[in-house]
Amino acid sequence: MAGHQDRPLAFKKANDDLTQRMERLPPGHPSSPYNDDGTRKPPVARPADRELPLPDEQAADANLDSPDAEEPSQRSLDTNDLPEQEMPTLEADGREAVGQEVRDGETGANEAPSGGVKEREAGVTEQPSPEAASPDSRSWGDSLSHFKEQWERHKERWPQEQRPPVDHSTDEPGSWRGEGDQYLNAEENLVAGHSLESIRPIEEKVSATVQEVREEVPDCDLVGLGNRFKGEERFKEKVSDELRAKPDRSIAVISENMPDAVRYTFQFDREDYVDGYWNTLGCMERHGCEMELSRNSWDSPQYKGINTRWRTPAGQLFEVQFHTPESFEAKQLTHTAYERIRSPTASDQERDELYEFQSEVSASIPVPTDSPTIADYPKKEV
Amino acid sequence: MAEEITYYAIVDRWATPSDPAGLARRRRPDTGGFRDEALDRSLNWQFTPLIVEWERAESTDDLVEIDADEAERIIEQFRAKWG
Repeated sequence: MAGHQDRPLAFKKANDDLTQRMERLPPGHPSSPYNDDGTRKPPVARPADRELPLPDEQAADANLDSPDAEEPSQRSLDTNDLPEQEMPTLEADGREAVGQEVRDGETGANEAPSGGVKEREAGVTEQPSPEAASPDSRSWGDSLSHFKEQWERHKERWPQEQRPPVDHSTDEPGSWRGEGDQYLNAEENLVAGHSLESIRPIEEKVSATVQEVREEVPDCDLVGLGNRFKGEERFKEKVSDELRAKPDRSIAVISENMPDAVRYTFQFDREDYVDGYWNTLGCMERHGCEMELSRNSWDSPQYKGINTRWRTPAGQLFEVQFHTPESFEAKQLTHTAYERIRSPTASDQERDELYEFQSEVSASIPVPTDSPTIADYPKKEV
Repeated sequence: MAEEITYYAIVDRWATPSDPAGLARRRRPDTGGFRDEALDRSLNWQFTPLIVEWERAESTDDLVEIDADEAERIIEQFRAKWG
């Protein structure tokens, strides 16, 4: 990619510049390393340690949608019965058990207290009282309750009919058809399936690297790890949608260049977000990964966060998202709305309401300090 | 009020906005709501989730908004290739 060879140098310069700029900030500034009285600020607690259960999430949270439980066979249009996609556990330290990312990522209430998580245990005992929460946190909590009620009303207003089973009667043997009527002929299905299978052995190494990065970057949390794999059905849906919209591209090109077949989410508190982003980039590069793309969506009306694409030294593409606890929570909350918007079965009118719902949720997410300073890479050429 | 249509060039790593990999559009009928479509090889407009995915940063490709004249030029380009 043009200019790519300049990036590591550019990153180092940007990182140094950022550190210097932070040192020059007036004491007491949120990003300054110094307090008002000139003393250096203590290390910040891990984001997950400081998360508090939301009022209606004390029990196992069955009301949020999993953003990544994308298997249509497992997909539900009701947020109350959405199962998790079981994935093999690779974590040695029990930070993120399989299928728990909604609960773990959202509230921290169910984080495994066992096996080498002393700092997490310590953090849980030191959780601040609700009164100590920032005004932004409180308003986000209020907004979240409101949006959950709003979503319940939407479901009542637009009840979903049971989908008829997919009709394969006229399909050739070996072909694949999705619930949205996406189709891959036998050859395309074979290629897409092979591409997905070829990622799985490599994923273990990528996940290990990402876990190391998580250990090395201060104030960093890794959330949603149980759903790092895009499910086979969702993968094929996406391949089919792209194949249809880009007729000159071959099935192999599309399948092998799916950037989010394996994806990870790093989470930072708002105050640590920008530093966390740059620190993660530096750390990933030190582990031999190369960033191909970074898109800052903090000014987007439909989605807040930064999505990046990486290649391992062996050439495997994967995606890394950067969220705050609030933006990750919003992504989960709006996941079913997003599923419905992109479904061909939604009416134009319902789609409009879903779009508005996503916009409202997004507009309520507190934006991290200085996040607009993170430029897209490569810069968009319009 | 007439239907509003917004066109997007689908730009993957091998394409440019003037020579895109595909073409998508968002139709906003005067009855409300919207529907997204992409041009297929038969030059028919078919439902697509790509615009919604792009707005949610889930898209593989970038979409670049173009005007109706540019969209027409690109359709002719595709017609010459696929027609």
